[in-house]
Amino acid sequence: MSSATDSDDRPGFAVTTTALAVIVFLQIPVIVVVLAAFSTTSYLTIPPRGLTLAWFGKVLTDPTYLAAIRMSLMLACGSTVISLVLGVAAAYALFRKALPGSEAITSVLMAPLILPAVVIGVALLQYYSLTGLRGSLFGLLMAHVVITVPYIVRSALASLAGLDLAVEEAARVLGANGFEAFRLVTLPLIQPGLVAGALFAFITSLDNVPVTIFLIGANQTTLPVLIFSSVEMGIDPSVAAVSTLLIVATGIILLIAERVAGFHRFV
Amino acid sequence: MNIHHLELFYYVARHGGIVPAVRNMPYGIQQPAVSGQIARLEESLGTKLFNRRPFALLPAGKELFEFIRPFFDKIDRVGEAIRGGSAHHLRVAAPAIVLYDYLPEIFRRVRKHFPSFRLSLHEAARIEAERLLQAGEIDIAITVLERKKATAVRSRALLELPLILLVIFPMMLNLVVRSFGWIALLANRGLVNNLLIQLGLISTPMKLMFNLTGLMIGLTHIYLPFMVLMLVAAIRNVPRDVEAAAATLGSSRLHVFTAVTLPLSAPGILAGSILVFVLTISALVTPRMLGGPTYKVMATLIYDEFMQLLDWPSGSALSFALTAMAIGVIWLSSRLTRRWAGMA
Repeated sequence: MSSATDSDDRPGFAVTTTALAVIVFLQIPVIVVVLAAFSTTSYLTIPPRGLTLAWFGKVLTDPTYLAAIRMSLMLACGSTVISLVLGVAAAYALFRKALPGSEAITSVLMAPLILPAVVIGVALLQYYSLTGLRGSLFGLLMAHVVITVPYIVRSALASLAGLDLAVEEAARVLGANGFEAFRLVTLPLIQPGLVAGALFAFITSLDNVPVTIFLIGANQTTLPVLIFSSVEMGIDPSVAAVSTLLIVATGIILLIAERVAGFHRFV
Repeated sequence: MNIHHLELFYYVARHGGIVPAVRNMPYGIQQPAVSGQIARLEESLGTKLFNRRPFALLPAGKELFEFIRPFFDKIDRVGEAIRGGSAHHLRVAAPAIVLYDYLPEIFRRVRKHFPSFRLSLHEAARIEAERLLQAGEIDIAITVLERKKATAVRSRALLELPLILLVIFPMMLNLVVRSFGWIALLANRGLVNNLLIQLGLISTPMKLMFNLTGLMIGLTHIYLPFMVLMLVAAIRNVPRDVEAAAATLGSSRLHVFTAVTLPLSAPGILAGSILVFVLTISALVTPRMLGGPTYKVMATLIYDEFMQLLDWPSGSALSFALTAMAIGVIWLSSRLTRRWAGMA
């Protein structure tokens, strides 16, 4: 872009206004949830009446919520780590064309992005029923790996594509073995992409209801599943409070990812 | 004439006056002292060198300045070179907060690798930093750039919080939370209805949930960011020159958009539409939360078949149909895109 056209490029009033309206529209439910969490009433009211932190206290002392939060975090961390290991290895093999039929394998790995999540959920439910994994924590963790691994593979493949293979070869020539060359040269180079991919994976796992709800054991629950089912029972501001906690956490994670890896470039 | 007088005069002429010279001199000297020394210099030359106020060099001053300038300009660097540290000298201008809070740590780290590294710091905000940069008195300025940057200055964004983050943020946010937000907005006693009643526009709450309206609003909100991001990428890929050419040839802005930008971003619009279609048709959480148990879409029906009715064969058949539809739409669109690509 030359500087001469810069002034002509500046969007007009109508465009700017529309863009701002869209951005505001996108934040509305977020703002509403946060406001509702501070109401002193025992039912959901907006704008909130009074101002209280009691609902946050209730959430953070309620064993059901705490167990659900713990379960969600454990699943998200576990599946992200497993997906990172498996996904980076798979992407590397696919990138180096170490396997026949690379394209077909890539499509299969990416399939969970396209297939309806409900379908993955019910498919795994039937599969787990047959193999006896139903209701097991291991089964649930593996299901989350299935839905998170495409994000890692995608970001790893994209990062690898921008890589000059010569640097790795240079490392090999200078005496590094294959693994050392990968760990000391390739891995640091694709790291920003992997950070973004891992964040996507983490959030996807943390977010997931349609797969989790079919596979979760009788007396277990994750945070989104808990909110999802408590809405059907009727809602009080503690749902808004726990949602607010999630909003704040997501915002902080996003800001950190933006500063560390320039996250928006990878979306 | 002695060299100290000449040096003082060099600073005065370079910075445009005695007061700015005193401020910019690398060693401490008071203004009256400078004035006195300059007066001595003028006395020895028998002529005035510059007008005091407003500051302007007189011909004699100009001649002298041009002669001594190359010498004093380079004296510092020559000194460095002789001392052996010339390669590692960096002159930085930055606002105080950067100088005090960030640079010391960076400086310490650089020093570890280059022990001879030297840093000159100038405290300066944007305009002053730009001036120093263009005058060649500093090497780097760290500053806030408004939209435009000075010509002949290369800039690199160190930190930007783009507006796009406000689009990404709702997308990264928990789906359940976003749907819950819409419940709070759209319920019978929700924000929208309360507001409309208070404004006197309606007397009884409108039915915004448990029907198509609610689902439409909620799902539009939830999948809008995907579309925005797809379109940002698509529009970014439209070559600027083509738009500029159309504008040069007399097209109005609107016409440039409809005749050039829109057709060229069509593949991106199609891809975004397909993505949103597939995501929406597969959505379970939002339709269930905003539609309740009674208003059903395919995904919620599958959920009910498996979890409530325990009719797995029917649920499987529905799942198959849903998958076939999603994949069919993707397949069709990829054929269409390929045909477009063939035409282009």
